[in-house]
Amino acid sequence: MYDRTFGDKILTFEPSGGLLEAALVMRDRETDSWWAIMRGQAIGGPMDGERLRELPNAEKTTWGDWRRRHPETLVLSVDGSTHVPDNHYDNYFSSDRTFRGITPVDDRLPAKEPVFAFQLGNESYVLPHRVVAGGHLESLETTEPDGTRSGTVIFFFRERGASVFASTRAWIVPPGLITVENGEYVLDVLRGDTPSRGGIPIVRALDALPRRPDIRVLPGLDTYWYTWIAVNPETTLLP
Amino acid sequence: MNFLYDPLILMSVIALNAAAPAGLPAANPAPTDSPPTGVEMLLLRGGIPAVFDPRFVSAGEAALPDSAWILGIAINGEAHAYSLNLLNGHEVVNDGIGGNPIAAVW
Repeated sequence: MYDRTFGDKILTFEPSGGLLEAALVMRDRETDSWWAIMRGQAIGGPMDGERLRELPNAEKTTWGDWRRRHPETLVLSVDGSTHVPDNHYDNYFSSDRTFRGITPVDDRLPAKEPVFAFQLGNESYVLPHRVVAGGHLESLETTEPDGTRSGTVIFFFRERGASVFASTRAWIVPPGLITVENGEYVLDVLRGDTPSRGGIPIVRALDALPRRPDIRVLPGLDTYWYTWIAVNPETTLLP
Repeated sequence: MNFLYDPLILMSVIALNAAAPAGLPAANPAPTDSPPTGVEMLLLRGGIPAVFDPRFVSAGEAALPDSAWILGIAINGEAHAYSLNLLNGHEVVNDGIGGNPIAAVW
């Protein structure tokens, strides 16, 4: 899910009809620029180099879950339908096969390993879904665009056994906000109240906290290792 | 998702879709418009039709099983949900929510 506002322009996107390393390339109707989803930026045309901005509060989940949490939700309807029963890509998501038989370029992970890809400062990172299951804390040293180095603590979460479609959640948090006790993640809400324990209650607590400048949702892309690394070879593989 | 470029699938999708809607900036698929290096062209622009003027129904009017996967976004008290199976046939929805123009991409 991307913001369509770029300075004083609002762009209208559509598929270009082409792929870059088997991943979607869009075009916009205002400038005819080319936008590579897996690279997160325009790769040709007047907007070349402009970055796509992911919206941090978009997610993939089931209709049942979404409807419970957002009873007021509206649902997209195209040509009178809100849903079609067929998913042509069932075979793709449940197999080891790469799309269109692409040969993987980097075998540090199996090609179809589901990963969460994100960017911090100048750098891209990838974290396998299986590492995130039940919660994962990562402490990264990053370089800002102006060259300064800083430390960043990130809490990632996926439910154990979640489908590959489910969105990974991630937050940049202050050091010490989330700790591990007896093998369990604990959120210290710093108010002297009972801390939240365990992944799901921590996610709920993070969502419910009043907005604070030192806690920030970290947007990213859930995808497969082979398709991300083909387009982003400089990515750092975590943990 | 971009897997509609599988020939077996894209023919049925193209057959189902009509011309671009009116009232929008005109597409400009000039034949001499070359793609950037590395981009493999499989279809004409517009072959997979994006959604430009999305319509919505309420949750009560929606016909999805609880187990269906959706892409959802909630901003400023508004929430929109898009069936992933439905998005398979369009890949991009140009939408607006909470005062923000957004693109749902699958």
